[in-house]
Amino acid sequence: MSRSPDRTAVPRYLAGRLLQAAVVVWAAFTVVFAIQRLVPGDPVELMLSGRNGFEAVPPEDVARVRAELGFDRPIIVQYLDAAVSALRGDFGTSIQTGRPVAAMIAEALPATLELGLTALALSVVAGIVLAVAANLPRGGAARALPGLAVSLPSFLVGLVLIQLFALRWPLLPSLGGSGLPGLVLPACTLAIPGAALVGQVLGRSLAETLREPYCETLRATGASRTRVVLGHGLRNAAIPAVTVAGVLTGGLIGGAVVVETVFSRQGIGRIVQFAVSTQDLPVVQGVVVVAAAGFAGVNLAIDLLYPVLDPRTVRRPAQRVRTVKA
Amino acid sequence: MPATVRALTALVPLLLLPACASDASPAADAVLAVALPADPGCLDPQQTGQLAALDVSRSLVDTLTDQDPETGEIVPWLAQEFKASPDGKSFSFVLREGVTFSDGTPLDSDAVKATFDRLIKFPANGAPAYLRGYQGTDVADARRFTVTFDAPNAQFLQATSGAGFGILSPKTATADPAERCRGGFVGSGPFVLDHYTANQEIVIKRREGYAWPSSLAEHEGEAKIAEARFVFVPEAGARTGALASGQVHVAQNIQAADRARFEGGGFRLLTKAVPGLVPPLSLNHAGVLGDQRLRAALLVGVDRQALVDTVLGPQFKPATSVLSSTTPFYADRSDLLRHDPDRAKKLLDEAGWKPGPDGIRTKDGKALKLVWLIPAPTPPVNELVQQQLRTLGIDVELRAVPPAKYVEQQQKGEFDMTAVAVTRADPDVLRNIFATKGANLWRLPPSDLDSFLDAQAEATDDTARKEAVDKAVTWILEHADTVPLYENALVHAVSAKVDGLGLDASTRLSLHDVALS
Repeated sequence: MSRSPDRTAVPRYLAGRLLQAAVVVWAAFTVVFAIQRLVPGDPVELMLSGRNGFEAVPPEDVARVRAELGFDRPIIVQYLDAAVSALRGDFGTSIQTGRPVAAMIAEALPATLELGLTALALSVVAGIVLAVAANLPRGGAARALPGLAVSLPSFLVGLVLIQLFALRWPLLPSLGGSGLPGLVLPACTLAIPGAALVGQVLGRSLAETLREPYCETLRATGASRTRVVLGHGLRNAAIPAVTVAGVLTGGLIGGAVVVETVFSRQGIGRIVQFAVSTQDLPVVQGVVVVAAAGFAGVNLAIDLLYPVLDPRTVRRPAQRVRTVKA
Repeated sequence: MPATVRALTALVPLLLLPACASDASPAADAVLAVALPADPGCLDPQQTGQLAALDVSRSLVDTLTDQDPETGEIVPWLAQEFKASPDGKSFSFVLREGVTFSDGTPLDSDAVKATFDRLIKFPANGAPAYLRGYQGTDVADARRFTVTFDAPNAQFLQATSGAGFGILSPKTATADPAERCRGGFVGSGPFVLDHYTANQEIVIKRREGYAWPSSLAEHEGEAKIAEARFVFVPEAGARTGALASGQVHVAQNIQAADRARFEGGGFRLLTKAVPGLVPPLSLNHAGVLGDQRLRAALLVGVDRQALVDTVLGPQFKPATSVLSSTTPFYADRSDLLRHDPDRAKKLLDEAGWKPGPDGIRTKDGKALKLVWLIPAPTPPVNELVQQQLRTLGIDVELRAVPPAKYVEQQQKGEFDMTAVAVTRADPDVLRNIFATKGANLWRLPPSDLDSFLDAQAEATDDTARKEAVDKAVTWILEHADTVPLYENALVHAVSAKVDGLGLDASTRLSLHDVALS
């Protein structure tokens, strides 16, 4: 009896991707646990002395609080305990604030999601505009722009935007805490490097596509360059850009640290910045797991998007990207 | 197309609305917005001495006493009378009548006892350290009680004026410490906590019916503003931007370069010299700085005036003692701190450190190199000190490390110099830092200094205390045990719309008399 390869290919493909995502999350959890334990410094002593201007703490007090928090147990016990709890969605309590990590993340996540998704949408839209402009006649400036934009530090961009749009022309608040107006400047700042990246990759891919024989044929039939780019080239050039957009999601989390600080927004970036500098292990652990899960999820979604863009990838999923250029 | 443009133009006033909303409201509903440089992480004054936390909690709790920021004198607040016993070991208080916590329970002697009994059990740095030697609180009646120590305790009355000694409702004493950090404590202050959103803001609301402000307050009765909103703005440029654009009324910690633009033009600077131990070079006596001649060379080799003139700005002053001039029992000892590079070089020569070919001094083939341990980032003033010492032939390495590493390396003594300053309007800070029985991070050998420090702590009258403090300061400077650098100053910028904003003796914001116009 013969089965159609298409029917098992999709579930097997899905299962494989899910397993891969799980391994990514577990590896992130373990590496962070190890790194946090290898770096010097005692998070408990840091918490106690940091609260009083780095004033020395009596060793017996440090030992007592360490025991209260369970940091005196063997490291493997701590690891297993943390791992099992994390599976249940319990990341323990923050050393610095004493709050449950899951609650801290739940509180900060909406703000960061709002910022990140807006920035991602802006990146993609601006990136497409840049890529298209670069491939239209007289698109020289649009070709140079991504290289410049990707090299601008977000920190600087943020401060310049505050100077211009909050101080010189007071159109928008510089403290990005509240509502839509507060979202504009931070999202633009965060979107700039992503837009440049998408623009660059999509632009190159588009240029390559336009050199393909079928595009030449289209031009020969009398279609304008603009029509070829928008009507035919864009979709066929999209796959590398979609891959980049997936990678971008990871970059957004890193970018959020800077942008949330510059614009005084609450969010995951602020939490992780404070937690890393104070060695607040449970918080770092929780954020990394959530971020890794989010990153894996987005890339899974993108993997599922490839067949929509290019039906050939469903037939041979294992070689999905390579088949495009074959 | 034009229709879209018009629609967008119509949106602009809407976008502006949030920024202007607070200006339009009448004064009684006024909301004061303050930009703090950091989220304190913990609000409980018993558990944290962080400046940002106390700027908030100072308005949530009242204390037995207050301290006059001008004179340093301890004056009545919740306690209408207080007296030290002749042996200096016990202190009797009489509470004023009619004070209640915001949960409605009365503030009585039992509440004070519960507050102190809990405070002493927290890790002994910050406020709990000021209660060391606590034997207990004897309650005579609802308004009269006596606090007893195992030794004379001259610093205790000053300690009762700080937010860390704020009186808390007895229920708070049994509350979970982590919950208290999030604001789960109940005080009797002019404001109550509305909400605390991590990394975003803290909002406190006026306590209706409040009628027991400090004897230093300008008005009796409840606070004049309805609400105070503290937002956390870590980036200095964003803080000044928020103030300039009217999003906040007060921006804290203004950098030297930005100060001029807030002097006039609808703003003013609120500055105050910080009392306590001035920022110094704290010297590790276990290493190469065990040689007193070397330490003395540092003491006279630093040009303090240049630090103020070139980096710190006119709000700061060169150090004239180990203590800042706003600390009670301070005496001007600039005679021991005069900049004298020739003498510094002579001391280094005498100690055997001869100039090497590259200008760095050497002894027995070893270069004179000092490690300055700094919690990152490095302040500009440190670089200037480094340059000054370089001209004497001393190579200073500025070792900026993350806070985690800083605490660890400091504990282990992996440094030649570091900078530990203490903010407190009481000379007992000397004992915290220099007593060899304490943490003794500087590896000081036991000496007469210990007895002077104990004597000031146990003094039962001001004359005796002054004498002991003078002896301790003189000893420290004559032995060059530390190198005082400059008197620290707080520099906040305030909108001209804000009236009555003050700083208490510990330089914390005092909001009870604040009004907005």
